Amino acid sequence: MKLRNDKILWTISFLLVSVGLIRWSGWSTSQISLTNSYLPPFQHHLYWLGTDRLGRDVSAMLLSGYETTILISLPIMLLAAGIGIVLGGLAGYFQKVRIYLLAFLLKVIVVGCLLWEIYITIEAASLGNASIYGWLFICLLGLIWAMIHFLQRKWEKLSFWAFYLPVDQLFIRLTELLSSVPRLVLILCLATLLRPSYFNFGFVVLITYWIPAARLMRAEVLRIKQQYYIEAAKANWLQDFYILWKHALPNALPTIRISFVFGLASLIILESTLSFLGVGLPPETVSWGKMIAQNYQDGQHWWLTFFPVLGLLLVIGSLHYLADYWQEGGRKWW
Amino acid sequence: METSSLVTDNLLEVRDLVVEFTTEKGTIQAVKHVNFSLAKGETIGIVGESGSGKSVTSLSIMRLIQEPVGKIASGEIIFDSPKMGKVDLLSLSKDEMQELRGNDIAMIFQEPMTSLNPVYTCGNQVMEAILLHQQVSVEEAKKRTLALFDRVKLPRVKKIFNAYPHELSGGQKQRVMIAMALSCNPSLLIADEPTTALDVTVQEAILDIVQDLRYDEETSVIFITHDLGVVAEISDHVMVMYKGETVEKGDVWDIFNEPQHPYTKGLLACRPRLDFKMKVLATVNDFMEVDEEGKLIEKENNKYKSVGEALLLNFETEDEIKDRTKDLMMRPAILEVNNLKKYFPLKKNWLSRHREYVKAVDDVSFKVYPGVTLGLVGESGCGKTTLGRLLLRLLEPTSGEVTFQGENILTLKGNEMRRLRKDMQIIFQDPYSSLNPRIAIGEAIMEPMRLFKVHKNDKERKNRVVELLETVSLQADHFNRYPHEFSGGQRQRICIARALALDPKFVVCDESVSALDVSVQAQVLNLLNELKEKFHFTYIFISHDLSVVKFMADRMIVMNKGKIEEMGFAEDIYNYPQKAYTKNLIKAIPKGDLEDVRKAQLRRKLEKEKRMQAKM
Amino acid sequence: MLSFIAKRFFSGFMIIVGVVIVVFFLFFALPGDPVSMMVGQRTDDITREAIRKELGLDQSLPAQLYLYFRDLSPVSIHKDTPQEQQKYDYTSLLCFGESVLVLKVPYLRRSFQTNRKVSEIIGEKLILTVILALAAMFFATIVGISLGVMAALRQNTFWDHFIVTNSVVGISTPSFVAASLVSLFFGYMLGPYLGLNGIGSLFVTGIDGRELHLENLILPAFTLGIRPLAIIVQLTRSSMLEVLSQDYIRTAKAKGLSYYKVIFKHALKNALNPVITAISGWLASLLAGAFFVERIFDYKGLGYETIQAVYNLDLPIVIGATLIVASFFVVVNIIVDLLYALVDPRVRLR
Repeated sequence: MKLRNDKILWTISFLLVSVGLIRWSGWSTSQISLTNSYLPPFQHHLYWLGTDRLGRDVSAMLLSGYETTILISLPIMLLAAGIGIVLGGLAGYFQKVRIYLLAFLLKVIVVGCLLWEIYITIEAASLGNASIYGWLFICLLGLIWAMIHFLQRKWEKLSFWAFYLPVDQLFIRLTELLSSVPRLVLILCLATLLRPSYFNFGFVVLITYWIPAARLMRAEVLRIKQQYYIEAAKANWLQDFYILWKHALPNALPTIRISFVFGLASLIILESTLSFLGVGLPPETVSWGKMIAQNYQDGQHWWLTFFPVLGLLLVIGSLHYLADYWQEGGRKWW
Repeated sequence: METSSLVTDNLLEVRDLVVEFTTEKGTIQAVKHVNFSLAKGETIGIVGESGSGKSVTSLSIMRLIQEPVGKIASGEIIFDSPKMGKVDLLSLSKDEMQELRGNDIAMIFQEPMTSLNPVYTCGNQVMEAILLHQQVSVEEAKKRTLALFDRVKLPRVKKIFNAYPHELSGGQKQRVMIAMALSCNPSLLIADEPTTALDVTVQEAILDIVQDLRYDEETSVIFITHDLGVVAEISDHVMVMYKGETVEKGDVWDIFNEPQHPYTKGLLACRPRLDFKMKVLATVNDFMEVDEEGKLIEKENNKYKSVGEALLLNFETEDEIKDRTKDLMMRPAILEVNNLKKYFPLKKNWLSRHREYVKAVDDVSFKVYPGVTLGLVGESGCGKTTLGRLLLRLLEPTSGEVTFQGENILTLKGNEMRRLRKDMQIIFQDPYSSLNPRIAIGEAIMEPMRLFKVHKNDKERKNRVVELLETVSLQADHFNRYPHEFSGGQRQRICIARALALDPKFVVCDESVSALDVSVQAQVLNLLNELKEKFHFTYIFISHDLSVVKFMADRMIVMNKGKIEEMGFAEDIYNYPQKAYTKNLIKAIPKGDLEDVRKAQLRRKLEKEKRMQAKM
Repeated sequence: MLSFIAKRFFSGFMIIVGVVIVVFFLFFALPGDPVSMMVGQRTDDITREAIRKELGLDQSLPAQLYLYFRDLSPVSIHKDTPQEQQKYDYTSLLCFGESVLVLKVPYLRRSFQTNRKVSEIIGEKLILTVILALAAMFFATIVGISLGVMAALRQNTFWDHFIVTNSVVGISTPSFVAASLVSLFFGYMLGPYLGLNGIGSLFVTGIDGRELHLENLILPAFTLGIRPLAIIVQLTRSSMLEVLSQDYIRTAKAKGLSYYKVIFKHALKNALNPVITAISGWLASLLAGAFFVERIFDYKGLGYETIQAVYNLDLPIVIGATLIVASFFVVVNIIVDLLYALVDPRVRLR
């Protein structure tokens, strides 16, 4: 691949962003007009890419499909990568953590309740019947956590029984466990159980998508820990979190961003696959997968399948291209 | 190929060799018009620092330059093959070349750790070479392999035959490599820094094997190294290379006795000596400079006229040493170590509860006096690095006490420890990974100052950083540059500046000059000594290289297997070693002085005659 | 070596137990209500109660977990009654009092739709999917490694660029897209000439009972293999390039070995290790990927059945399929780890 250079990189990013911008600027012509059904592409000045059975503009549908894809995948992937970086970084850096049993148990319970409450409240909010009490309760739990944390420092009795928690081992086992269940199957299963909604989709996807980023982060932190600059920082008795933030993270990011882009691509594939099957996402979602599903057996009106397929391949292909570019050329720094 | 130029008695003749490498910045000549020849049974030592093109020269003889990045642009390499007669290696076909490789010309590489294929047993890999070049049965090949292992003095040959490379030590792997190279009785052996990665005692043994080979088989050897001491021991001729060019070549005695080229003089003068104490090391830059056209020229009105003068001027007499060390130990110790232990648990068998330990540091006690540099020397795996880390509490010891300025640092917590940290610093071995590639060097030096709130504001801190950079002979405008823009020596200077940022009282140098070239090493060592005078701190200097430690240290500790073998004044230990271990260690170091050269030459002559007589 | 194997099996077992727990919590402890999801709009209380009882939802969570494990464990203790015997179809090993220690096929409960045992349904279909996945993997491995090696040896030539570019396209194509395109193109448009069908299962029930139609395997296996093929190509290429720059390759060349011997004896064996790991990872997700391919090609394997069950909200089948696929993944991983230890002596130390 000789064409690898920054120009291509910028072109890809430009395309990804600009298509989104056009969409958000409000250009939409997906009205039904039966007089214009099945117009072939490149023949009508208004409908460049043709129309479907109901006379809807294919180009407009493509754009809203793109919007769906990005709006679903990007936030989820950002969150997943965030979780992955935090967990992987902590596991790789600390290996074993000294735990004060009583305080730890209390904290675990509080955090458990907290996560549960957050889940319930957000789900309620996403359905439109949010209650102020849920949020208040979350704040209260947060306060309790801070109180335990504070007490633990002041009150010796809370920290009387200490042991080492092998964080890294736990992390390895957890990722091994979660990655034993293939994502697609897991999501299919939950689709039978949970109401199809963006929130549930995101929740299920998050269960597995943080893993690659986390594993990579752990490996990177382990590698970086071997470097003498970390030891030099430790020799100055810098705080662990400062070292992680200032020295480990910036050096791990070039690798993490590769896994991020790969993850994004696979999430887009997952989303389109699920909408192709009509499972897991709300039925009213406009998406490329659904367009393909509705038309792929219709050989006569090829443009209805061709353009969404082309769109998918372009988006995923460019993401892979970007990742490849970073993988081979991005290590200029050292 | 019967041109007139081929009619010589030499086994190998390299003429006008040019090797080019294509990089992003354009084509670079790695080897520029190199000529040399080698007679049968002789050894030539090629000496140079990193980037001198010495390895590339040897790889071109084997035609193993990585194509298409590198390419032999022009030249002739005429080799007198027992089977093919005189041939130009560069014009042979690939098949003919494969015929020669491993058979007539064999090679030993620098990195024994990575030069053996990890998925095949050692025996298998040696046998492969035998089966390839000689028409013998598998059993015969196995027998020969075992014999070869015997010859390179490997222990328990049958076990090693079936062992995988990762199960052997570095020295053993290198012996396997040599066995492989010897398998077909080559007439030319190329040894590319074969002992650089090994301990001195192992190096001695390996050099002996190579010597024996010369006597027994009349093999010619090209020995590539950066260590002049090794060259003095082993070669008949020496070629000195600098940035792809031959700067000087000649008989080993002539080179050591009367070096002509300023670079050679610099190289000879900048090595720390074992036999006497020097105040300052001469550096290559004292002898030579680069003119406008990029050529090396002798410095006019230079400090030293010759190597001898450079040594004489910096020689410290015994009286001077006594004078200096007399009252050093009168003051109270700055650091006191009592019964320090660090055991690493081996991976325990999950069936049994029994735990085994590696005793990295085993019951070590000593004192460090203010202003007295303590040298810590030992072979790899002796626990010297672990000890250095324990002193700074980068590792938690299993038991023991480390008292710094009257406080036991092992019991201190958070903030108290940080207060002490200011006074203790460490400079690491690898200048490449000691600096965060994402942080500009000015920031890196400033970081500890900022965290310890030294100086009032960033502006003052910045001024201080610039001052420090200038102290270590860097420039103020380097402040915003990133580590990858600097060479190894410069990076080590930056690390030194960073260590000095907090005005420490106590600095641990952990193999701080091991990764540097000899000429750069001399500069950094001098710098470290200057800084000591200027800032009045105390060093612990850790190194595997006894001559470096002896140059730096007033007092010295010899470590072996986690324990202290010997402790005392550096001069005393060198002149009157008490323990067998220390004696062996000192004996194994190639001195590289004239006396040694003469001895080695004489020994070779005698051996040759002895064997001649035996043959008759 | 023996302790390595034992360790590996133990950790594999623990992972399966863990997977069961994860699946259990996802299905039984999440705030969704499986019963109303299943019966949908119908509000017949008796049916609801029946389903609740069948799933054990009327009991506490720990009790449910215990029941769940007891159902799944091949060795378990049950009351020795005809109902239990009929439900679990066990062989008794040891009797004590009313209870009996039994050996049985893991009981995955019964399908809501057909009331057949889930283990029977899955057992029937699994083999078809495994054949499909293996065929795809076989195709992908052979072709992928050859192309990868070829690209590495011809680095930076036209063929290298060609292979790499195509593999990027291959990776970027979602399997349902590839499946639709292949089915349309080879099955319908070229089908009559090639003798291939756009849809069809490995076994077709005709007049003479079940017939084997091997040609129906070709297109699904090809489609399923595209993505792993592309990934194997890239992996092999980069791994090969890395190995070729190692010192021991230089040693092998210095020995005078011929080009092909250096490549195939010394480089390939080292280069294949990461590829083997990747293949193992892929085999399990191939089972998952097979789901869509099967659906489009109408290939009646486990995936087809599972997706049907998803549409029908037939929870036991879906859970059963999840567990089976996960266990399959674990088993494959163990096998691959052992293979890995055989190929690379360094691994055995760990």
